[in-house]
Amino acid sequence: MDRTDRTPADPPWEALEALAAGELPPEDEKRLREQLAVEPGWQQAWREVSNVESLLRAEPLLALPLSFVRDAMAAVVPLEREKPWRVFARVAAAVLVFCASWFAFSGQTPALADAGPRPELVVEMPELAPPVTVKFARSEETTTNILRAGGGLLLVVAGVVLARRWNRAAVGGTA
Amino acid sequence: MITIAAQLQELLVILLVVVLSLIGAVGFGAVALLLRAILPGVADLADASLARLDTRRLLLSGILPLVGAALLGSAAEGAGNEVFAGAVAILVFLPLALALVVGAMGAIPHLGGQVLRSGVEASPLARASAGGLVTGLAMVSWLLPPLGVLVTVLLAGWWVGIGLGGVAGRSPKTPAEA
Repeated sequence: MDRTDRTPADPPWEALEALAAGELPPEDEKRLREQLAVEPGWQQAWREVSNVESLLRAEPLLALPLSFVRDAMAAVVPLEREKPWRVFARVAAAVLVFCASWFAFSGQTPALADAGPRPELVVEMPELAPPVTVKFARSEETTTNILRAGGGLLLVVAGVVLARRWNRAAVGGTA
Repeated sequence: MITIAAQLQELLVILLVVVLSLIGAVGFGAVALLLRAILPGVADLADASLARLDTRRLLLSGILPLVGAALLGSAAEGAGNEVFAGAVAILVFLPLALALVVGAMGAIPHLGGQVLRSGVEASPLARASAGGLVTGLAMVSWLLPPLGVLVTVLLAGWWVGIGLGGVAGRSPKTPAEA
């Protein structure tokens, strides 16, 4: 049964998919089930649709990473319990950590890469005789190391804070 | 004749390596058991952390610091500054290594309890040995390096998560306890 070249007498695939997902209104569901009982061609289509739905529901390879991401997000940003400004701060912190990690791994930021030669840090000491000017050239490697160190430190602190917060919350102490 | 003797010798060497690896894996479990006996308070902290949090949270709170430590190590190596490298080693690597050991003290017997038919009813030696053996055999995944990296990161993250949870997640002492 090819779904691409269907005729008006063919099974209503969209309605059957909605039925399998439990999204049909009760009266439509009742009417569709009555038609299903008397249409042999529709019953085959129903078996196909319901098998796909049950496969998606039972597929642990999909369900596990999705539930992991959902739980991690819920732990970091518990939207339903927090005030809006705290949610915003948490999301901003998460974005900051992500960007820091990304730049640290990639080794450069687009803005820094386009800026050409690194600016020099100039320290003048006119009080000395003769006056001395020291120039420190900030190399690209230095910037990369600073970004890596900052991103790494953020990740270490984030892990420790999460471990402390979750454990304290689990024992009923102050989170 | 010489070829057969050489092949036998190679086979013996391989068998020796396999046997030594298995003994080493069981010995790894024995080390965890020994540390549990010497430091029962730390072992209790690890067990409590393992019981409190689900695996996903343990992994997340363990893998994040590991990735951060790798970045810090890379930055220290690139900077070539001995003071910075020493500070990273003392302030980040050493605590994480201790957390790893604490986590292993709780995780290895727990793993043994999971894989043995008798479960938590098995003797501590049986659980620690089985846990060490399973951990050692899991390192066979290094035959496929990407898989080995994944398994090792998951294992180390799990241990660090348990260790950090046990140490950092201690509830504050009450005045009566202090």
